[in-house]
Amino acid sequence: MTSLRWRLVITLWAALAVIGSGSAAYSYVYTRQSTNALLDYQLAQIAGFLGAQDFTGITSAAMNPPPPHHEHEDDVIVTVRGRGGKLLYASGNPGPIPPLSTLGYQDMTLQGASYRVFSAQAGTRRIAVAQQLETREEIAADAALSALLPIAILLPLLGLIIIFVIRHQLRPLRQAAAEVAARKPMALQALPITGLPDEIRPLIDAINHLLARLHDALEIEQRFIADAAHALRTPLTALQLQADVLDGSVDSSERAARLDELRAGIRRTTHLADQLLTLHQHPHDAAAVTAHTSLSRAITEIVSNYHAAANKKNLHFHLALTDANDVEVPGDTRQLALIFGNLLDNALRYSAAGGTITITCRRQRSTVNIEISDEGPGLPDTELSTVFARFYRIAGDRTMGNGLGLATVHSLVQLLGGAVSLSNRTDRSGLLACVTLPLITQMQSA
Amino acid sequence: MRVLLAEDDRMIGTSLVRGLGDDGYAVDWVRDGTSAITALADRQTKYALLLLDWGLPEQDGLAVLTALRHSGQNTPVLMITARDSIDDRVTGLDGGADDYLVKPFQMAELKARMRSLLRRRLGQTGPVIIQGGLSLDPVTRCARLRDIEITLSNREFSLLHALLERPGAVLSRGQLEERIYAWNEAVDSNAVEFLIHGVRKKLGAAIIENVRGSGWRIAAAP
Repeated sequence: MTSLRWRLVITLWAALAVIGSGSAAYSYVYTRQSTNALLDYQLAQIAGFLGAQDFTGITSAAMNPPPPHHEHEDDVIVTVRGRGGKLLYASGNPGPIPPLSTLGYQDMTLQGASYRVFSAQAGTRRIAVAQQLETREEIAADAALSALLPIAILLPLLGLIIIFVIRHQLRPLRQAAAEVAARKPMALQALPITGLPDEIRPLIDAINHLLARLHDALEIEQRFIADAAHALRTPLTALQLQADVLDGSVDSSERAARLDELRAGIRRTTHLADQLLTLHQHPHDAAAVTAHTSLSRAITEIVSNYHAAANKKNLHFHLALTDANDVEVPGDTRQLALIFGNLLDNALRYSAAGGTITITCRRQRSTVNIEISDEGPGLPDTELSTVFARFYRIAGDRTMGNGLGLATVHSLVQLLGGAVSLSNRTDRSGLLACVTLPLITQMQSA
Repeated sequence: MRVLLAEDDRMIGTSLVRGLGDDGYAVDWVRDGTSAITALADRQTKYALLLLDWGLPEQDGLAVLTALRHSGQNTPVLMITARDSIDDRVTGLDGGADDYLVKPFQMAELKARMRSLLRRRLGQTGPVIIQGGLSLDPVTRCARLRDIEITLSNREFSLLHALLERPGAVLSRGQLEERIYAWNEAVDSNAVEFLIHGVRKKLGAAIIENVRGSGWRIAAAP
């Protein structure tokens, strides 16, 4: 049973049934006992009253039986005996009570029926007052049952009230649920919170918070798809044209050159698709990162991949990685290769021939800084942070970037719990990219 | 035929220069808006057509278009863009563009649209340029002289096309060179005479008249 309403109803009903039947049982037993006590007391009273009477002139009803219609089964019967057990008076049926040896209350059988008897000594007279047990039971039961009546009426009434009240109180919840159910999939505006009970408010607040985040995420997603579609147009146009011009050439060396150009175009498009995928896959919580990698090994490996490109432009690498020894950073080799590869790509692209690209690691207390500096023209100060935006390209930039490299770096570094910043070198012209990554301590890596 | 290409993407630009070159166009390629405006302002070179990418660095295609039209030039402009919203198209066409091509596009479509623009510039409705008994088909790049079809080289076609733009007008060696060759092409001093010689060999010596001291023109009734 998952309905809150029916759970409340059933629970309260069960509690009501237990408490109700308990109190009913108690009042039944109690009322019966008090009625019995009262009847006992009544017998004693009658006996006391009769003890003070003079029976000399009274003819025994037993000797002079009353007409049958006077006969009353529930009547109290009385027997008065004088000295030596001489019958002085006996009332009605079923005849006189036989002489009793003990005084006080006792139960006895008289002509097949059980009786409650009270016997008292008043001077020479012994008075016995008796009442049929069955009658007493009837009276007691009647009294007890009438005591149950309010409970019997109250219980079902309370049951109905419970249903009604719960139903009424849960209405805002039902309305909220109906509101959500009636929504279109992309309708992510907040749920109304007016009139909601305090207990449900946190839930609706949490849902609204989630809806707001979903809305943001969806917007980012849609913008990303639009941007990606736009970004793909240029390389696809190039591919189309590169394929189209293959037909035009009869000269075999020209044909080979055009084919190379087409292959380069395919590489560029593939690279763009990879970057788009990386940017898109990146999950928003850092909990997804479980791998960690040796920093010095990762950087040496990545740099070695760029040696050929550097040689082409007569560029040199200067590595200062002593601080990176025995340092583990979060992320797998692919992620680190994307981060530092993109930064090295930029450094190579904007460096003039013959320059040096310096990579320095600086270990801090709980983080490590990796700095990549080139001897290129640097960036205008206003562009230092905007270049991280997706699809951002610097005005007048004639290099073949697609505007996704730094965005990829940025989102990956964030995913790994680090930070990345760009600054212009102060010692000379050139750009300095600084990646800060958290250190994996021995304990974490164990 | 001399055209100016303003496109910032290296790969697209390279392929366009190659593809258009295959059809005998002399393509000057600039990669930003400022260079495009500078090239257009140079009255020495008269471009038959401007291929203009909207998303140029420094000054975008619309700025180039505005500058061109402000300077009073009616060079046909074919806008190339990655934007395909109706608003963008309207803005481009209202800004003075003659046609509009959305990326990605095929070379064949680009060439067809270019031919159509060039035709309109010459006031022709049909695709074939006709002057007397001589007709020139820009699609097949063939000349036809009184039912004899003659295949021309790209340059020879460009030369005839230039002379047929305004029949009877005399074009100097410089003007012809400027229409046939792009910036980056080395032109021999007698290249134009060499081409004229070739055309005369195929179509008969009378097809091109020599106007002493000024240049050449197409014969009045070839």
